[in-house]
Amino acid sequence: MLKIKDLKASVEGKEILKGISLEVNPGEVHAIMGPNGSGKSTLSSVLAGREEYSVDGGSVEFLGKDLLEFAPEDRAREGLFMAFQYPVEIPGVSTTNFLKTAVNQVREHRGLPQLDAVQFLQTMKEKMKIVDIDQSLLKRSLNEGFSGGEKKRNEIFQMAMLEPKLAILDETDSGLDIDALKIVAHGVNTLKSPDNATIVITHYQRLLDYIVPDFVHVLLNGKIVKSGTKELAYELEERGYDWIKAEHANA
Amino acid sequence: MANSVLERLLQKPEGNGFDAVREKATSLIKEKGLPGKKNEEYKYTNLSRLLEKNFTDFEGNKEANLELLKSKIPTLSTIQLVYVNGNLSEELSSYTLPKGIELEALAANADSVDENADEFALLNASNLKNGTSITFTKGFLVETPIVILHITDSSKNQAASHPRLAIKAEENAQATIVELFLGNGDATSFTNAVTEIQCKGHSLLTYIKVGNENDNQLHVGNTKVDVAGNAVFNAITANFGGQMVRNNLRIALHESYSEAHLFGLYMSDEKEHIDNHTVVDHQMPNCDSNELYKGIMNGSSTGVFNGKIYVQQDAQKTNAFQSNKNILLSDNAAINTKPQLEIWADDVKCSHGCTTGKLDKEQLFYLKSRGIDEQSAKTLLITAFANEILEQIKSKEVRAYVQNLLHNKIGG
Repeated sequence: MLKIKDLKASVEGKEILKGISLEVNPGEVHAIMGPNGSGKSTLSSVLAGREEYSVDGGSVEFLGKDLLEFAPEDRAREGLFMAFQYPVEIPGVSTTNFLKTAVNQVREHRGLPQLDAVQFLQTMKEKMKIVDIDQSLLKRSLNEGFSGGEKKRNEIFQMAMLEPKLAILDETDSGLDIDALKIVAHGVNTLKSPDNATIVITHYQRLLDYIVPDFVHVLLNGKIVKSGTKELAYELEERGYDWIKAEHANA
Repeated sequence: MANSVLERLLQKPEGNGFDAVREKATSLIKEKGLPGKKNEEYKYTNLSRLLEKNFTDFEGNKEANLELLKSKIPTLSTIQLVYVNGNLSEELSSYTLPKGIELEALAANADSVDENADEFALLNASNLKNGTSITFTKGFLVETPIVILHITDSSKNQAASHPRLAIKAEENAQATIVELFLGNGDATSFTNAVTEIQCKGHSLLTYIKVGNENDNQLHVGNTKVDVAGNAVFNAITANFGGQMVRNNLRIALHESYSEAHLFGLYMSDEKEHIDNHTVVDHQMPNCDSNELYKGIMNGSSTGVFNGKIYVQQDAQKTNAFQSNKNILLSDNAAINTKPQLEIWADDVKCSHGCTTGKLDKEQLFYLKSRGIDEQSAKTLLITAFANEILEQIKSKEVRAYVQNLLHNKIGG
């Protein structure tokens, strides 16, 4: 589904990703872990198509197409979704309001019929249950005055509405209390299927108790320096990142 | 300086009992001349130059073809009075006046001509022929908005109209009035409107001015408002185009416990120029004013916002707030914004502020990352920005009409 080969990227002339290779297949959950500044967020930003990042080398193939050729909106339409670490506030635009446009533009791209107001509302009501979100929240200005948990639940709700093939959760656990974390994880697990895949980017292991990864990768200084199974996450939790740093420095 | 375009614009109408008004106003405007670049008030908005340049073959208005104007009339279930080149058209109007509204021909005498008035207001008085007076009578609540539609028709030749409207809300009356300015035709046209509003004690009047004129149109509007004790005056001014537009809104809070709420929205593109000058004059204690103007400039268009607040010596316990926010959609668009506060009292709360920026990149990226194309994402953000103003229009029908004008403007 996703084939990243030797991806190099920089921001403002500073090299951050120094050759990343990663393959994600349908049905898999991959966790990317790493200390601050290792390039985790840059990787998600490059995949989602943020303009500020320049790709200096390598390739990204998504469902057989060159992902890097696409504008951000086309990546979303092709089936990529990113849950933001810091979802933006948009005064005057409600979730309901922009999702109707988003869902229908995505459906049009995928050759599906448009949802009318009633169908859209029905779909919304179904998906709201997945993350236990209230309709009144969806009518408010996006993220304005939302708690941390509400923001992240709203991200997963949007994911449910847009039905992506590949979801990237960018530090979705940061700033979440355990109850919100469980709700978010439950949402992600409910949406999991043999046809879609998830990349969980996180600093800590805790989220991985609830969203269990098939593979864990450690990102350090712009490179994946170690890959393993979920046991690797426990090891990182216990021993921190220093031993990997040391190992990598010696190597 | 009596310049040649001024001579052409003095249409010398006769009769209707306005001889003395016209005579006084004409001599004043001939003495002052139209405001040029050196006039501080018109520094950024040199209408005289454009009038001089574009108004070369004006020879008085030609009879309009009313049939062709029918498509311009919005289909609203409100009371609608339609004026073409300043004349009421019974054929295009549709109304049965409910109780609480009185419609009359304007009465005015020479005393009503203020020598300190804006030059264009004097030019309007010099051409005064048949103004309209609308009174909301004491104690009545009129629920249906009244729409006054002004069409300046330049389909046959260059046209100039000088509409004049007097609005009075008597004690404890409540009403909403909309003045809508549209254009028709390709030749240069000039609309020079004067609206005088009186809000008597305990009245509540909402005045909505909407301009959606063509790129060959020049517009000046002078709106003067007097607000009495315990009365509330709401103004919403929305402009979506015109070659050069200037709105002068002057509000005097001349008795205690009166309130004025001023909202403005302007969106321009290409080479359009939209200028809003407002004055709120706090004369007595315990009055509130609150002002928010928002602008969106595209292409190489320009906007001007100049908001003056005077707090006179007697006006203790005044609350006066003002804010101007702008979005520039292109590198060639510009806004000149100037808040001015003059405070002579010592126990007041006043604030003002202005912001100018581009559409937020993070917000745009967020929407695009959900599959929304660039243009739709921009439309969502611009609409959200503008809706803070348009939500102030309580009549759903009128609001929908204005929102539609905004959408057409965003669409190109």
